[in-house]
Amino acid sequence: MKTIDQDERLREMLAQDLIGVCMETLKSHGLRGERLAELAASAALENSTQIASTNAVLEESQRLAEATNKWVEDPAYRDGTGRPAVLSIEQRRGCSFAALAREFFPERTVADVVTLGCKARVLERIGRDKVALVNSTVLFTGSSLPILAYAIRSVRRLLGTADFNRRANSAELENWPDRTSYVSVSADDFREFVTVFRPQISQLIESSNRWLFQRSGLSKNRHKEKRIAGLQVFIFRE
Amino acid sequence: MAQPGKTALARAAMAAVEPLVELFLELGITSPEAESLLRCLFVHTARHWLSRFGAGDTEPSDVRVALMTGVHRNFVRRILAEPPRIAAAREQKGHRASRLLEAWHADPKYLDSSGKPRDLSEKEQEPSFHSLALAYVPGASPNMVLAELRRAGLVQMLSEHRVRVRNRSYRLQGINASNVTEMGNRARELLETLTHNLRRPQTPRFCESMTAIEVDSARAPFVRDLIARRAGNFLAAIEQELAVEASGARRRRSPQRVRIGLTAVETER
Repeated sequence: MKTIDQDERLREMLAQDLIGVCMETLKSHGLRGERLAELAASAALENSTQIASTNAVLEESQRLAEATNKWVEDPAYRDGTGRPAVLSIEQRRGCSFAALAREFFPERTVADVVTLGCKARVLERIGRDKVALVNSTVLFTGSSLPILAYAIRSVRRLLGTADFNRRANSAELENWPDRTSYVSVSADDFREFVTVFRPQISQLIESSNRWLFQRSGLSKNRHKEKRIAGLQVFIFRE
Repeated sequence: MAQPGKTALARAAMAAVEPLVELFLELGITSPEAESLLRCLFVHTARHWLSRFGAGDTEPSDVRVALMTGVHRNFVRRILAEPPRIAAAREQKGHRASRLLEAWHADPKYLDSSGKPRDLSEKEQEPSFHSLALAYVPGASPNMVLAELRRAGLVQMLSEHRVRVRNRSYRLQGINASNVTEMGNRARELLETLTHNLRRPQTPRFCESMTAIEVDSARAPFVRDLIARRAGNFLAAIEQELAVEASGARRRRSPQRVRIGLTAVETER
């Protein structure tokens, strides 16, 4: 009985830690403590696992990421060197940026999508009528709301994996991989660490993305029920 | 005061030297490197010449060689101590374009979000090749730098006046002394590993390969690019990881040393 009480107490303390971490982050984004307490109380009464507001904030960047994905992965969009080709913006037929924009942003003008892509540093204009892919990742750097929404979705995914793993039988490799490396290092070493591992992380993500993209497109899998799955990697410093 | 005939002689010698200079240019030997090599050769040849035609049977002294060549006797001694070669100090300076190539791989302005060098517009769009050249090869026209890098096969011209970097260091492509030496070294390393594994299967060295895939030739450029990026990245990562081991080994220097490396090779038939 005593152990159950102790577990209960420890769980509450961990819950307080988690809420505390979230509250501090939200305060750093400009929310006040009292308002956060009201929002927390309201969220505690709801019984929903949906993150509709987060998805709404990320919808645009999500669609841009999907358009980029097609540009990178679809052989028709590659140039003679095997990399994503420079695309004509307005070309009516064949592979053009207009075709991508129409597929992923049917309600917006092509010019709007070019502006969006340039702002997210995914593409750059080449002269007046062409665009080149400069990054295959949509960057939010400097934008508070998309970064917050992205963090919320990441936390939700991390907690989802943790929830799965607490039910899995670790002895039978049923769990989903969740690994961490950490050591105390100086600021200089940390900078070098970022430089060394940035390409490694990018390649791992690119590789897993290619695997998932190709597997998802196989005709035998076309009519199966599907759920979003993936791999997320980030560097941290406490 | 210069002797009047010297200028005319030098002019005449130019005709003989010019083809040599062209060869040096083709081999990527810079002017400071060539000057250093010429000085060494001058000193060695002067000693040999004095031995043959000078007075007496003894070897000419360093002072005598210095007097004849105009090179200080301290340098003469140093130069004669080894066969003619480019002085290390000159060699290390390398080609001026090396700085540009290194910056293209390291300056955040010219990298994409994955830390890899970006394809650059020649000059229309910033960051451009022109701004890179002006920053890292000041005093040289960006067009000339680009032409030189193209000649050396170190950049690839893409559509829409865009440029892609192919190598991190200045190294001439094609059949030349340095590349043939490297080819020999690589072939030797591979054969040594294969022979070792045949002779000592109980302590094999790593030698693995994937099963070759067959692809449409139109998709081959994509596969080649993928292999180059993945393998290059893997080699860079393992080099970084082993650098820690190597620095530890330097501190605990033992007399028995082993050189261990890893080479990745794309095959195609």
